[in-house]
Amino acid sequence: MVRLVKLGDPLIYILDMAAFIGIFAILAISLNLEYGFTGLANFGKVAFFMVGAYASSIMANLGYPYLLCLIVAIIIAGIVGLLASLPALKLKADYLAIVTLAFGEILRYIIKNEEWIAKGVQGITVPSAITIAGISIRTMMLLQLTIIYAALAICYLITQLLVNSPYGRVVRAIREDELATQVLGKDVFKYKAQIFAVGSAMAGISGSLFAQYVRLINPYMFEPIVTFTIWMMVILGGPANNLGVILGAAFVQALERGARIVKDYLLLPVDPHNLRIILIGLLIIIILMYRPQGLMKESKIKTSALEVSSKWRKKSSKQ
Amino acid sequence: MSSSTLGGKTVAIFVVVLIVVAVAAGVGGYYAGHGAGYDEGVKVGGAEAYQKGYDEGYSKGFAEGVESVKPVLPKKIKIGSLMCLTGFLGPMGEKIIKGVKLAVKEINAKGGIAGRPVELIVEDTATDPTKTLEAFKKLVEVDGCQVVVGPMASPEVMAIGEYANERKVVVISPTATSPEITTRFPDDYVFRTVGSDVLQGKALGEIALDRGFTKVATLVLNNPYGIGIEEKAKEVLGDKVILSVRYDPAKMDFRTELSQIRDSGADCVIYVGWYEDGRVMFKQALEMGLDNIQWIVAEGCYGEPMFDVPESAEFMSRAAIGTRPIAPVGLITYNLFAEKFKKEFGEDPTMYCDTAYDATMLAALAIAHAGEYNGTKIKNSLEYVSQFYIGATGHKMFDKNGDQLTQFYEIWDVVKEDGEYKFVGIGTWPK
Amino acid sequence: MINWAQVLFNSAVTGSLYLLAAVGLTLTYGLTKFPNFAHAEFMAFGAYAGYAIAEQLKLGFQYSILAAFLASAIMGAASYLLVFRPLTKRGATIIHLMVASIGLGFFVRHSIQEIWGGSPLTFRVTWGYFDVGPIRMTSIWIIMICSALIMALIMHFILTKTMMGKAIRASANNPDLAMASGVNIEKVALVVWMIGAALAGVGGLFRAADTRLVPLIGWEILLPAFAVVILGGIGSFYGALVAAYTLGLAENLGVVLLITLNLSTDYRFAIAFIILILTLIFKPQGFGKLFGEAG
Repeated sequence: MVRLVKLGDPLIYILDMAAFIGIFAILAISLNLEYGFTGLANFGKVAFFMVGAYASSIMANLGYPYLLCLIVAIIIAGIVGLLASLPALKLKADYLAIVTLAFGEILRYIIKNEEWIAKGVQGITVPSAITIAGISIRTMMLLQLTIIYAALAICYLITQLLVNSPYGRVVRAIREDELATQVLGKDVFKYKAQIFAVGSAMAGISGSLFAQYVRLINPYMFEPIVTFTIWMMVILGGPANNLGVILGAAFVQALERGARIVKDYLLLPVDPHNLRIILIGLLIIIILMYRPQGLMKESKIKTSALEVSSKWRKKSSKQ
Repeated sequence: MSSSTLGGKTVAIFVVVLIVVAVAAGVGGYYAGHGAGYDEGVKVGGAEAYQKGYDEGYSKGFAEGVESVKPVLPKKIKIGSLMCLTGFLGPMGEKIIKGVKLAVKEINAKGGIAGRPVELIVEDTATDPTKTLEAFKKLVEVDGCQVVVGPMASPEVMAIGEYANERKVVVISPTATSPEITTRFPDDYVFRTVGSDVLQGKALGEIALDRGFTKVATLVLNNPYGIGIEEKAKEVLGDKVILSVRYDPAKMDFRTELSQIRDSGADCVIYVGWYEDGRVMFKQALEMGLDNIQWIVAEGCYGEPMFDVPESAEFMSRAAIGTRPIAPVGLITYNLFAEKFKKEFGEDPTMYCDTAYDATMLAALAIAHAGEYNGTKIKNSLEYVSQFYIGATGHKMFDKNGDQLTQFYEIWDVVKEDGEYKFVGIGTWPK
Repeated sequence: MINWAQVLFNSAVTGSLYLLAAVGLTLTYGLTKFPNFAHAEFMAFGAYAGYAIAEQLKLGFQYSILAAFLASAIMGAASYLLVFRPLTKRGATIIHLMVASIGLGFFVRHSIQEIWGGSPLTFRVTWGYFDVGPIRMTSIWIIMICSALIMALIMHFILTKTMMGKAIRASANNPDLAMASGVNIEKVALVVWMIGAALAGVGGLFRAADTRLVPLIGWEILLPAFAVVILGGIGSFYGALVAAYTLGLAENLGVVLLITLNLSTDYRFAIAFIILILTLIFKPQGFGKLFGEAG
């Protein structure tokens, strides 16, 4: 009797990659909402990701059920986003970028050094959202993916609803010409603040999911490089196209995972880890030069008013 | 709109195809390689041997026949290794991996485990816990490892501990010393061949007391390693600690912290750092005249790389003594190991090459004893064989938490001989 | 007992480093109108070029300074000519340029890592040290302070007495008017990018010689350099001069304060960031206004 013991389950590695893609796709969509649709250059994205992760983890460690932790993460991240935005949204794009970057770093320093918040640099462990005992690793992965992709779907729908509506028209107008929109009577500041709050809340969702998935978080995981990676995903995928940025997230993550596998099969003279990042840097420059709309062009706005009016137009063309 | 734009649809299709091809290549490659190798091995070892045994048994008696079936081991036995080849502990990791490689080479030279060669699969963790978890998942799921030597840093071990227990994969770290590993991962798949810093912190504190210092300052890395030692040292020293400073190794300007130490009037500094920051710290300490007080240093700064910066070496020769974990003095097995290491790599082993060697050897012995490439069986065997293993660093028996029962430390000093700097031992702890 | 003289001296050292790093940043930001994150890699590249000369070819540290200057100047020129100018011509927005600079940074940093490896490298130069009264000094620190001050004098001379300098100031203040007056803006921009990068390279080299060399060395100085740029007023050389030393002082005083308050000295970097944020929100022109330069 020969017992074929299955060693390792490569499907799990792929599912693991899919989980990270889902988590980062949510972040990409949130940045897309802020930058792609509204023109807000948020370079502090990782800060709200971090706030969501820590808020959720602290709640979870106090023993509360996951749904509550998630809600707390959303609320706190959203509020922090709103507060951070208030002084900053009046600034020009590049100033906003620098301020958000600096803000993110300050937050990270606080969490790193104030040990009473979350044990500082030692980091904290986080219980998983799924508390069913004794399930196989495959089932656990599939359940995790269900939660993550359900969250992604909800964020996608919310964003699509927001941007394919009169509200969406206004924020796109703000992106194109802030002054004109202001002149037309729209409270530009209010719209910007709302978008920033929603974007930050979404980052909070992503942070909460991330924390319970990797089970251990510490301040070194939330450095500006994460923000830059999300920006890469958005620019490559196509700003103002939600499907595009999801693809962008998939591409960047797949490249990272792929590099680790490829090195076992291809004998390259170059370290694949360096090569991968060099390629991404090059790709970003090329895309910005020759195809700044990214992989997928901006999605056309689809409001119900447009639908009605286009039907009317079709009718008249028949005559 | 510039005319040199690439068509949207084309680019999209291209990218999607690229991703699909990459994923397919990865998965397909895995199955092609893994399937062919492993299944064959089991078939050859299991079915044929069983048939042979059965035939023999039929003529000699059923019981004897069954006994001649070989153990169920794959054709190639994989030992995974998670090492910091880049990042903060990169320089240390590049040396420590040699200890692992030496062990693997020795095992294979003697025919491998039950006749099957050991295949070492190394993944770089970049001294980053998130990357460590991802690399660990790759070793477990894609390569099918059931035992892994490493990782090096305590936060990295803590990042993978849960997953190791869930997937029942044995993890043996040769260098992670944080006491937190004992509290978070007792009695499970996480082992270490180096003693916990519970002891080193105590050692450093007691050395300060023995030498009569009454105004002690602590200067430690702001991470589990530094803080773990600082807390234990403070327990020993009580109110003799007049200043506590924790620093971020990433920023290389410590002048003002050093000024504070100087101005506090401390007569002794307990210091915990690594190579990169330690060199800069000592250089700047020399520049600031802090070589007139005694520095007692943890093992993170023990090693030749500390002498790469001349001021650092000079400072250490004037003002620093410290501790490092060692095998009991005069151990024959250590000398044998050191000889083999020198012969293989042309250089002396540095700190922790020995514990890495021991970790790998123990892994191999456990696999051989288990007779099956199965994490749970290997874990049980490991606990058992460690009782009888005397390795390069002495008796490596694990306690029920997977920790070392004892750990000796050498008290070292740095001397300058003929213009060359050297580490010398001046005592041991416990005495 | 706080050694205030030492704190002041340390502030001068920190300030000199920040000045060398920030001059290029503020001038290119003022001229090309976007914050260049690849500036960190200008610093790193110069340091690595210097390392190659000093340690690998064993030619001596004095040539390292020259090598860092030239290597980074070339990198600055290449970045401008190959990446930022073409992008601007194609109508890239400020954010596009920022993201491109991040991408460029990735490219350069990991190329450096591929060539020299990621492990920390050290310069085997022994810097002498000596006491002047209550202050401990080392020769590299003296070199840093002197270099920064000499550079400041030369820049001042260039900006006020030479044609190129006046062209630079004109272009920064009012590019259209400058062009109309016959200034070749693109040539001015190229010169600014080269000089700025070259100085950054030297700054990076000094930092590496004082501590150690790693691929991320530029990022250790970049964010404080941004604070200097903002505080001094974007595009203003004199503003940056004052801001650099102000920030050096603030940071070192801040550390004294932090230790007295029993807080972690890690927050010293937060000091620069807080100053940056407050400046941008309340007085975005920084010190520039005092020198009559466009903010």
